[in-house]
Amino acid sequence: MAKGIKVTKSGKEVTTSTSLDDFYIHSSYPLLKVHSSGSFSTGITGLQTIDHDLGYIPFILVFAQYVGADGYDPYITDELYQCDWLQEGATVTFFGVAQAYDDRVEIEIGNTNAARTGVVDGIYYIFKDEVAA
Amino acid sequence: MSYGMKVSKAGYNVLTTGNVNLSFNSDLATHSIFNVASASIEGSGDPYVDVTHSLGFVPKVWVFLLQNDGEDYISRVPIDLGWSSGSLDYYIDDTKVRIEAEDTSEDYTFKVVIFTRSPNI
Repeated sequence: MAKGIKVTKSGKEVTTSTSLDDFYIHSSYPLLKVHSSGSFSTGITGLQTIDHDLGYIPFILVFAQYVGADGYDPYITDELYQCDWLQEGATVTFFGVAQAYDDRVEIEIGNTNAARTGVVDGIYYIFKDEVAA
Repeated sequence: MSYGMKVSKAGYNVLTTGNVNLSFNSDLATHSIFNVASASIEGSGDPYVDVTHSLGFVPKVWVFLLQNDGEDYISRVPIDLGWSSGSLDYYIDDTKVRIEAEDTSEDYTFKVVIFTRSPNI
């Protein structure tokens, strides 16, 4: 007899529910697990590196302020957007890049406008769960 | 009397602490992984690839693009790869995840994370 743990959402019967959407725990399906999370601040067009010791490429989520341009003057939004983005204008490229390697996450936020000053804030989640090669 | 289950982080009283210090609360939706699938688009073939699932509802999904700059790494999809390469995006229905490539001449490899959770928490 197979053993396991199941917990359904309120109003759903654990012994008869057939839709996986009814379960908040079903031990046949692993829960997403956070390895680390936090905030970061990086200069516009600066590279932010967040190390992890997992030894494999994990799932990540990264959100950061967007660096726009008003003419040649960069501006930074109050709200956070989920990386990645890349918008290529006629003279300026706007980017928010987050790349997960097997030992680190690299984040680069900014635009290619010549007038580059300021600090961009963001948040990140690195998960225990592996992106299997 | 209602039933439920809570698990708190070490050092926090499960009876009194807030949700922020709970590792599990049966009143709050979790995200369980149904499947992590590999998929690829070949430049010589269709500009899309389907990953099927049997959930019977539209699940939450993450899609990552596998890349290499001397080291393997991932980036999130949707992603714009620039003028020369276009963008990658996807949509989800109750039977599949379809990943679409704007540039049909490139090869792409993806990891698709399908959760057991629908948007209807």
